[in-house]
Amino acid sequence: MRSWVAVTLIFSVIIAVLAYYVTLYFIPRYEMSKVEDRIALVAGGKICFDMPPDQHQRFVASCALPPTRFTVLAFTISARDLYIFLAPFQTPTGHCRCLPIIPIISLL
Amino acid sequence: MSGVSRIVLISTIILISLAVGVYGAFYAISTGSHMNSSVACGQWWTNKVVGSVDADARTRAYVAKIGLLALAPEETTYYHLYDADGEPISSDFIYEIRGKDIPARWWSITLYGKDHFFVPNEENRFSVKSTQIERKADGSFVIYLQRAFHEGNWIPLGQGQDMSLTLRMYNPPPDIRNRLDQLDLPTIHKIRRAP
Repeated sequence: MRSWVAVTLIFSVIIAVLAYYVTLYFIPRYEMSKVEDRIALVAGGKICFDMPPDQHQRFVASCALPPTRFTVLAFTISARDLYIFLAPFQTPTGHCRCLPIIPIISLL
Repeated sequence: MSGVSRIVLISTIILISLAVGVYGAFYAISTGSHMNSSVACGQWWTNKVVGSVDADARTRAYVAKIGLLALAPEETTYYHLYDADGEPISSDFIYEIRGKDIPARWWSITLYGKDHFFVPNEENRFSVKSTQIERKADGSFVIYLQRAFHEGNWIPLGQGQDMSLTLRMYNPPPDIRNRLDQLDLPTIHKIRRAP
């Protein structure tokens, strides 16, 4: 009887720990899946990045792609999960880039 | 114990364990602003591992919840401020942020609401940037944080409670990671209740 209780306790702790990490693992993916909702909430269909005027160019350069009409922007969540977005390129107009963003793929 | 009772008991334990794990994850995120890797610098908080491969699952989930993603540390260092004089930032008060230039190629201070989005206001003004800020002769600056219009560096507070400020430092000095708690960052003070 005592061993049965011990096994149950160990088992429940393992399940709780697994549930903890699985939840943390899926939260970034869930938040990214809501990105279009966030875009709509942020600025009437656009997401705004508060960044220096040339920062966007730095992203473009880091992707090694020419800044044509459509530009692929690659972002990472904490440098581990790579998300790639296709965004119409806009000439910097000031402090805030407003880009309609379409998630294309995610490499997990 | 009968077979049915045992199945019910095991199922209950599994469900409780799952609930504890899931709740624990969300609770861990809710306290994410003060994680083990967090560093205080005056009234501001930053995190040493945000945007790096060292970020653990909890940090990444927290970042995703509050801002979707974080740039790599050499690109941007983020500081967050959650209270002024020990109390949450509220649109019921008038605040002043005083400081001098911040060591970065470009920086901004942005106001966020409790939901981590911009605080709506008629001027569509959400932040103050290093390229726009009005400085005094000695290089220092004052930012007015209040609902009503104020001449100069003004961030409208809109309507809300439990707001926060984010300081973004783009391309900070390379050695900044070693002195995240020693920077001379702006200070915020509550001046008075808004009329």
